Amino acid sequence: MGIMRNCLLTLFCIALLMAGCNKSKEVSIPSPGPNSLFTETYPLPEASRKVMDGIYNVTAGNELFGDQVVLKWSRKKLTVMCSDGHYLVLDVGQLDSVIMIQGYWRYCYNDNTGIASAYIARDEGGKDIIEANPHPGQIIIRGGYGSKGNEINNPLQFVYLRPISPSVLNKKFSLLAHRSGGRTSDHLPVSENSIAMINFTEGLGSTGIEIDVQLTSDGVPVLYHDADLNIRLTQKGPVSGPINDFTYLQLFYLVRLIHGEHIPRLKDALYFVVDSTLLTDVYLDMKEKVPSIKEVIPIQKEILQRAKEKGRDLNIYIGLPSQDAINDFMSQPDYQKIPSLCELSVDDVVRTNSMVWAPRWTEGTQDALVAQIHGQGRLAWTWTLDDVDWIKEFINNGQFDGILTNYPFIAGYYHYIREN
Amino acid sequence: MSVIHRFLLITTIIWAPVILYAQQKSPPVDIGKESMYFPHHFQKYHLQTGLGFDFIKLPFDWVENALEAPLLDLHLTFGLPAGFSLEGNLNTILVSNQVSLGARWNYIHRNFSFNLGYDLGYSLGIMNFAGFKNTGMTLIHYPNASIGFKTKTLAFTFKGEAVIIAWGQMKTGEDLMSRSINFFDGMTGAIYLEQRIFRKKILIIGFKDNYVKYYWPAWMVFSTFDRYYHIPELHLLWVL
Amino acid sequence: MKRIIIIGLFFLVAAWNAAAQPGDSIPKTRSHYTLAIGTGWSHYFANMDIVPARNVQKEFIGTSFRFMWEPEYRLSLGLETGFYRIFRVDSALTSEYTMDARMYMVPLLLVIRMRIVDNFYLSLAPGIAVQFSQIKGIGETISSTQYSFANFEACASYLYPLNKRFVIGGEARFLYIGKTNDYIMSLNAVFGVKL
Repeated sequence: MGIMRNCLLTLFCIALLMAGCNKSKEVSIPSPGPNSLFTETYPLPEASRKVMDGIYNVTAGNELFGDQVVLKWSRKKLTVMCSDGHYLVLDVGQLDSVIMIQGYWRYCYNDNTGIASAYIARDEGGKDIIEANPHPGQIIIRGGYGSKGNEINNPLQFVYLRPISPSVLNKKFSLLAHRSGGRTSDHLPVSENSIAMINFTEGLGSTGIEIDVQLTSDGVPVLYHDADLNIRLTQKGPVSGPINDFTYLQLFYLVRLIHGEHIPRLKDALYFVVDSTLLTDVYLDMKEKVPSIKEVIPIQKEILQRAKEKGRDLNIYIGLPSQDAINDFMSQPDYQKIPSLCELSVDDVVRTNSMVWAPRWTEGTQDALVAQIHGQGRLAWTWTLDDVDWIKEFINNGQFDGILTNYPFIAGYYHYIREN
Repeated sequence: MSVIHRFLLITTIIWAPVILYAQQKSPPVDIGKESMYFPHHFQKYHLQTGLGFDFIKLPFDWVENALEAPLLDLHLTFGLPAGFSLEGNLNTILVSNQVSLGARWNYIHRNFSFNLGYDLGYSLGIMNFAGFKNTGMTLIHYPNASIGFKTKTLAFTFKGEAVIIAWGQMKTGEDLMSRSINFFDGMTGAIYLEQRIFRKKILIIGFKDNYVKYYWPAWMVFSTFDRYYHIPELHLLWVL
Repeated sequence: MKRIIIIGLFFLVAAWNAAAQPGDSIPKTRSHYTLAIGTGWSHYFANMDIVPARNVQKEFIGTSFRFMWEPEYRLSLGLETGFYRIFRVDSALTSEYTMDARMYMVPLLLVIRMRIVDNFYLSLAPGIAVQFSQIKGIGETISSTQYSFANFEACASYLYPLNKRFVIGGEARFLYIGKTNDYIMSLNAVFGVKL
């Protein structure tokens, strides 16, 4: 009897062991809770937000955020971009003449995160910001950040140094976020290739997105990266197997992405981009296991037309990652007029009349070829660059017009901090 | 080669010695002396060889789709005087390979024993993707210690080791993509059970948990992550 | 660390049981091969995020086949396969749509089995598995096949020799399927023949 008990215990132990091997760790966004004073504030007007954009010296909090940071407003969040992969995503509001700031910080390469809270006093820049004075005398952001839980236990202070250089702001440089804004494996609070991620990514500093496009069995282009429905990207359910085997309706009812979202149709995702964001570039990464360019072209056309009607600066490029995709693309009528992005050679770019050349970053900065592409009036982007040193190298010494990365705040830091 | 064909090939290799030795008579065995991981005074100037497989499960954060294949594991021990021994290992999965060599000092007290050791590992991975020859190389320190316990027929060994990357680099073609020097990569803990299976032949079953940031067999999927992951390994080794 | 403790427990339990036995320097039997067929109840540990466990059919009949080489001592090596229905979900999604999703599995495992006491064995088996799924409802029926590469089985067996040639007994097993993070348990009646 004792032996039997021991053996059952052993089997139970092994079952427990196996249970521990799979799920990714989730990192939740720290929050100050509902009693925060921030709930009393009013939103900051657009003109006031612009005053806050700039380069700041870090006079407290250097151990985490370095000596200088870039503050840049997106549609609804203030992003603090640091040199080494730390970033802050902040909400900002005004209360009388004080600017109240609240949010969280995160380190992109691991799961370290914490709460952040700060303010700008009236005589330390608050008044200039509220009055939208384009030349603020000084801005001092005082506050603190927490390294554990929701407790603030470290001082934080940013002092305004200078605005972002006008030549940098005027230069078209795309900060493209991977997989609609960020990867599931980076333990973000929303799923990759979801509409929720498109909504989230501007807070990370991105100005464009790359999304993965696949075709369902009934011919609907959807956003999904892997070849199969799996527990890496989706919540565990009764359905698994190649995504191309399923109809869109089946995916809608039977599958949820890892944070509970639906797998979006390309059309819905692009409508969200044009109607609800300020993103300017969309790079459609065509997963051509089942050719889908024919189905994607009318959607691209419809959304670009809508963007034109709304006066939105939006580019949507069909990605051509392989010779098969090029052949599929070139079999479409008037393909030369369709905005596309070619990942292969410069000759292929010319052949397909792609607007963008997008070589893999491991091929180097390729200055001569980039110059040749620029000479033809096209753009050059590189992908997928995540290492701080390489991002710095490509921005400071390369001539690319955009970087596809999982960490747009790093690319943003090295781009916006440039003086020209 | 299909998945099933690969699996059958591997199991055939495992089964080869089974067929070879079947139906022969068995001499007595002292498990404490014939084992490979259990710390003991290895027979002087005698080379012992073990061959088997390591089954690994990589974290989902690293692999886009399932990438699970066993590593071939060649394990060698060589007895030296005064309780010392040498230990060598070759692990390969074709695109990832590691050779390690180290020394142990072994101490025995009745049915218990322990050793202290140090291994130096060199891993080399070569893989073609995106039209380029990609290579990954690392030099790894493995300081380690083991505690053993034996019964008449079984030997148990608990082994712990630190993993310190002395030097590592990844190249695409001739271009250097990344270089790392002297960083603490993590720890491993392992349990090995050794017992006779047939005649004087020993079969070793082991479980190892790697708690590391960089895991050499998966060099090609190593990214910029600065996180520790648990990577379990199941070892099956036949002492030849 | 939790895993180390759990595995440690496994080996300690095995050691305790094994140490309680007399030494086996004298072989119990001569080396031989055994073919065993088992069938019985299987249970799926429903762990789906999007379907409540109460809506999942979890109990089925499963079958296993084992070919083992049993040398003289405690350990034996072998191959195992079988056929299991993992789950069935048959429910109404909306007033308009119903779903009938089923999954089946055929594992192919390398078995290492250890005799703990007379007639009682524990085994551990890594290997691959082929998973078949079928979805009906909301349009056409979808059938798909996928491979799972990291699967493990732990099994406790009681095998009673009827005579020199035949054994009968029972097996309790946990099977983990890495690809879909599924677990099943089965209790099988086993009939074996020594070849």
